[in-house]
Amino acid sequence: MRRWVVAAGALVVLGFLAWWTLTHDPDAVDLTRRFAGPSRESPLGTDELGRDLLSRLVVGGIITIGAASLALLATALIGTALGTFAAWRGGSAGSALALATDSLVAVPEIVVALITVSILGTNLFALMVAVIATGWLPFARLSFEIVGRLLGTDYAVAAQMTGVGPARFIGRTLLPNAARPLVAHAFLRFPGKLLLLSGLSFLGLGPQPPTAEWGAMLARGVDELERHPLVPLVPGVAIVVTGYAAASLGLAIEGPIAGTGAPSPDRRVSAR
Amino acid sequence: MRSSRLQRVLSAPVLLLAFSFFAFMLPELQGIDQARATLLARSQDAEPNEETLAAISAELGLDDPLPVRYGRYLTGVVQGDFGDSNVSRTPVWPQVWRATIVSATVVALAIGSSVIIASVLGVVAAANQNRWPDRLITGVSRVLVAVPVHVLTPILVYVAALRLDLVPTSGWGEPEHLVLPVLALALSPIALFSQIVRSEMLDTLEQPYIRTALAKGLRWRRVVWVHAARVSLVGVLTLGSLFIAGLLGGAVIAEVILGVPGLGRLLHTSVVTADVPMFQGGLLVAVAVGITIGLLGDGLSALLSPPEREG
Repeated sequence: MRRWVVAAGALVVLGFLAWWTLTHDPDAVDLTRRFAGPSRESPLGTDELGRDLLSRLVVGGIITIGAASLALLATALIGTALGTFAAWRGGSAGSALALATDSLVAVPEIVVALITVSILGTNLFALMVAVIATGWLPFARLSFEIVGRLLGTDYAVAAQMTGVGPARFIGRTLLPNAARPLVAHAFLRFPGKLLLLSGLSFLGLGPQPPTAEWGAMLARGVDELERHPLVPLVPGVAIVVTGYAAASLGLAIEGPIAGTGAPSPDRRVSAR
Repeated sequence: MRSSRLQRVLSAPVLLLAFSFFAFMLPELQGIDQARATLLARSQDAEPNEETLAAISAELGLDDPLPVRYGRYLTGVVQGDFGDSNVSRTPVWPQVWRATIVSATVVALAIGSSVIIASVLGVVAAANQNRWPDRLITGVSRVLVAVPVHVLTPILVYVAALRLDLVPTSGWGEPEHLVLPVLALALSPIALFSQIVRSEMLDTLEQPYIRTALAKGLRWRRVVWVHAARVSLVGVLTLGSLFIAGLLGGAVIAEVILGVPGLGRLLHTSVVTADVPMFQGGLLVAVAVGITIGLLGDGLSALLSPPEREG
């Protein structure tokens, strides 16, 4: 019962935010209302160009969360495909992947991201490529482990003995059983991707003004931290709350791991 | 799924070589005309004539075939010659080296202090499971893990520098300049590590030998801090070493905000100003440091847990 109330409440809030953003242009500059405090016209106040912070928050959220989610999805698919393939083929494909992930993990994520940006330029697409380029390793590792374990189970052996084709075997036998930990892992990795993306954008390496993106909004707001703390606070809190929510969701999906109470090795580095 | 240690040690130079080629190819990938860029850096000549460009190309050896140029670049790098910065027109290597020392200082202090503080907090939390110290530490940690450096650093600047006036907002050179960068980088690992120490401690405290120690009449405090803690801290030590390479990401942001002349800021500046030789040098050093630390962490984990499980 309570869940339905929360869900309905969330829908109402989302609906209101969507209506607000549609009726209030996030890029509309009004220099007469620079740094206006919260009011009826702008519930969260305005920024250094008099733009409505609430509608910028919503649009920025769609851009930031959308880009991070899309990039995460792409990187999860690539990593899972590689890991599944390596586990499926086994032998040298498996050891090659093991060696690749073990050695590439030492390359700092930010270095790869900066290389990507220096090649593709400062835009949202480059940030997404940066996330994809750095993100597939843990998914490859995890799916390799899971699929490797699944291949040894009785039902996998039985399915193979009935002579199903590889596509059907992977799609119907392996992936459904590997999905839950992988999806949980994706949610646990989401904060890291959000932070990488908004962090690069914070440094001015992302979408350029006037695009509303949380990291960029935060960077502009920080200059006015002393006199107008609300301006940087709004995108800052949004980043933290979103990351926290995604991580909690991931933990909930993952469930207690085999009753050990210890975090899995992969979760340990999830904050990187 | 682990590769053998020998494989990892042998793959390190291969990876570094691959990155050196990648770094060398960067101007091609970025579509930068090196002759033009060099000329622009030297003489502010934005519209050079063909002759000058040809002369510069000849001087830089840009007309040679690719393998020859790569060989020359690699020879230079091995001898510590990463070329001259396009911005300051001085050799890259001394600047990268100085920046690396600065970043190493900050990151080492951050990791060292976070391992120590997180160990104490984690043990305290586990020893008081579900009582207020545990709830406080766990609650704060779970939030802090989600606070990124680019949100945390401005808050630290606001509170510690602007409001309380305890430390300078930015700069480098005095010991007090270390406080904010180290704090900015250490808080998130403290939160994460303390949770790991806590859960490993809870596991350890369930072990039969702990019950035996208590049954023998040893004091609870001694059992917790000596017997259980010693076992539980192995994981976080190796994790700390794993984390160093990851901290470089946060270091870029913290160094830019706080005006720390470290490797992170050097990389950021060189990307923004399109200073190709500087970026090449910085990224090669960053990758080399990351690989070295990875190998050292590997060795550390082997030392601390001899019967390392395979599989």
